[in-house]
Amino acid sequence: MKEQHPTRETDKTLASLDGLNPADPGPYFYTRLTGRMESRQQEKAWAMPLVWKAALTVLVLVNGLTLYLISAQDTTQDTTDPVEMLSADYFNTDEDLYLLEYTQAAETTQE
Amino acid sequence: METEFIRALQAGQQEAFKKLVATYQAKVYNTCLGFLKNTAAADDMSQEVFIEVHQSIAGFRADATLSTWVYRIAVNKCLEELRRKKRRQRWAVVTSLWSTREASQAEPVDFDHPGVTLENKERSAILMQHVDSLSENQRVAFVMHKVEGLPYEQIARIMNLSVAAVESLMVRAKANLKKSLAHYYQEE
Repeated sequence: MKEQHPTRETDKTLASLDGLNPADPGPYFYTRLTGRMESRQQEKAWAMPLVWKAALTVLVLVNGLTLYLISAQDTTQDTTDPVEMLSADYFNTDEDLYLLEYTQAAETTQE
Repeated sequence: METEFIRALQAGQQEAFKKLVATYQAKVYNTCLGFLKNTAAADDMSQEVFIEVHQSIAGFRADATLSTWVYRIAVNKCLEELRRKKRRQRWAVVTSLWSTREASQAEPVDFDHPGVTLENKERSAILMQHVDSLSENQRVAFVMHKVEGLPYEQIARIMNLSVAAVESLMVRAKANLKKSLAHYYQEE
C-alpha cells in the first residue's frame, strides 16, 4: 500500500473500527456450551477412578517387586549345596577339611 | 430484579443460566473477538467464559453489576490466553536454538470480524495488528471502547479504574497507534 499521504492514511485506518457492527457467535451457541459443560463433568467423573487406578497399579507393582526380590533371595539359598554350607560352618577353608581327612586316615592306619 | 436473577443463578436454575447466556453471549463473543481476532478462537473462549461464570456464580457478591462481572471474566480470560500464546512463541524460539527445525511462525493476525464493512477490512486488520503493540491496559481500554463500543464509565468499572484513568489510557493508546501507523505507512 504505497501512499502519498501517510497522515491521511493513518487517520483513515484509526477510524476503520468506527461504527463497527457487533458480531454474534451464531446459532446453537447454548447447545455447544452445554455439550462442553457435560463433557467436562464426565471428564471429572473419570478423573477420580483414574487416581484410584493409578494407586492400585503402583501397589501391585510394589508387591510384585517385593515378591520377586524375596524369591530371588530364596533361589540363591537353594542353589547352595547343604554339604558345602555345613562345611563352611565348621571349617574355615578346604585345607582344614583335608587336614581332618588326613588325620582320620592316619589314625585308621595306626589302628 | 437483578438480585432475584442472581439468586436463581446461584441456586443452579437451568433456565436462569440459559437466560444469562442469551443476554451476554454476543457481548462476550464480541469482546473475545476483539482480543483474539479470530472467530473460532473467540467462540471457544466465549464458551470458557460461560463455564467460568457457571462455576463461580456461587461466589458472586454483587459488589459489581452482573454485566461488569461477566465482562471482567471475559477480559481476564482473553488476556490469559494472549499471555499463554506469547509464552509459547518465546519457548518455540528458545527450543529452535537446539533443534534443527525452524521456530513456529506467529499465528496469522488478520482481524476476522464479521461486523467490519468490506471497505474497512484491510485497514481494520492493519489497525488491530498495531493494537498488539500497545500495553495491556491501553489495549483493554481500546478494544472495549472501539470493538465492544462500551462507554468509558463501564470500562472504568470493568478495569477497576477511574473514568479519568480510562480517558488517559485511550489518549495514550491513540497517540501510540498514530505513531506506529505513521511509521508503517512511511515504510510501506
